[in-house]
Amino acid sequence: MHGAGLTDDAECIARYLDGEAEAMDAVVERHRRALYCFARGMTGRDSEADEVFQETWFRALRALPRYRERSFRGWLLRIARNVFIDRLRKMRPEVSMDEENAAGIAIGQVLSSPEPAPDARATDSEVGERIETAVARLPFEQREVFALRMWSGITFREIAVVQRTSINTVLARMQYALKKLRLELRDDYLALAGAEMKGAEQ
Amino acid sequence: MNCDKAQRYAVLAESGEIGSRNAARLAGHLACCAACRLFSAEYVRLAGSARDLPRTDGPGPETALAVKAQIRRSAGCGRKTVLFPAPALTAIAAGLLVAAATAWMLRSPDGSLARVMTAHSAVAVLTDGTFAMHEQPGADHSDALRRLAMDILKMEGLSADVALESDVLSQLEEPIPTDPLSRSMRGCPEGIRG
Repeated sequence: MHGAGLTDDAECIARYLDGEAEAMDAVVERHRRALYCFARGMTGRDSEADEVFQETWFRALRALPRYRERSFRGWLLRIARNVFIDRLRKMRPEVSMDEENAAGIAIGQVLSSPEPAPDARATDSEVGERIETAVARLPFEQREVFALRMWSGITFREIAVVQRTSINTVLARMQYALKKLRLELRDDYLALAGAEMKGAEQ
Repeated sequence: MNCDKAQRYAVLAESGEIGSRNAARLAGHLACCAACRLFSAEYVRLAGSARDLPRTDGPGPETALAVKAQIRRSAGCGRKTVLFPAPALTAIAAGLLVAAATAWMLRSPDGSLARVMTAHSAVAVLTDGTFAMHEQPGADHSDALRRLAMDILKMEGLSADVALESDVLSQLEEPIPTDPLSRSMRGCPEGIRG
């Protein structure tokens, strides 16, 4: 099933590169949601997510003749990641992503997205709003792992490819993210713990 | 299995990326560790809530249109541009090679060698030529050859009234360069005449 999807992507891309423009529509549709949700999760704003989405496709189309990866989705999300990092650098040109703060942690690690903007979508669930706010405060790479797993729906192995790191590092980032979210969402967690305890007593 | 590893496995299990052996080990740990059981339950609930967030709409219509337009513009960008097919390229290369070789062979400061060679060709035509295509119905074979030779001499700026070989050769005496190659050509018409 998974392999068939990859084959479809490769076939569509080959046809597109050969001049059949419509062949790319299926590829865009297949990865549209994963890419947009990732962009939305990382930027926290619809307008910025649209820009990242568009720029990612523009860059991907330019680089398509050189595309040799096994997973198109992973390749696309890695481009989106680079687009997002470039945007952060433009917003804060004086800051290097490798520069370390007083605690010896790279700025890129602690750089978090701004608070949800006024144009951020209102969520039906209060819990959802709180999760969104808490995720926006996570360090860049932890937020990225969370967004890729929860909103783009890719596996941890694919996330490791996107972040060019090991799956253990990805899992560690997720663990750190969950610890921070636990602190941010303390009330929700306490409610759950209470329900858990009641369940255990019964 | 310690709690740290168990919690990583719990995360992996939620995404369906854990093997059966590790799943069994995780289940064994969860059965006797309340903290990891709570972590696992919290994670599953958090994941469920996060995925329920209304993020399913995709990009706005303008963005989707811009991407689609770019896709249409870039279609076929991987197609290799072939200006010349291989046979044509070979023919062009061969032609260039012949032209370069000819230019090299005919090189001399005043171009006299080129004229000498052209004149020699004319003489050769007059003496040994077989250009039957220049023949006209009813015309004498030698007349056709003579006309051809005159044409060639005219093109080279030599007198059209020359009396064939002797005059051609006399005209050639003047521009003979000191180039040993062209000097060796002096006797060529004689040789051609045999």
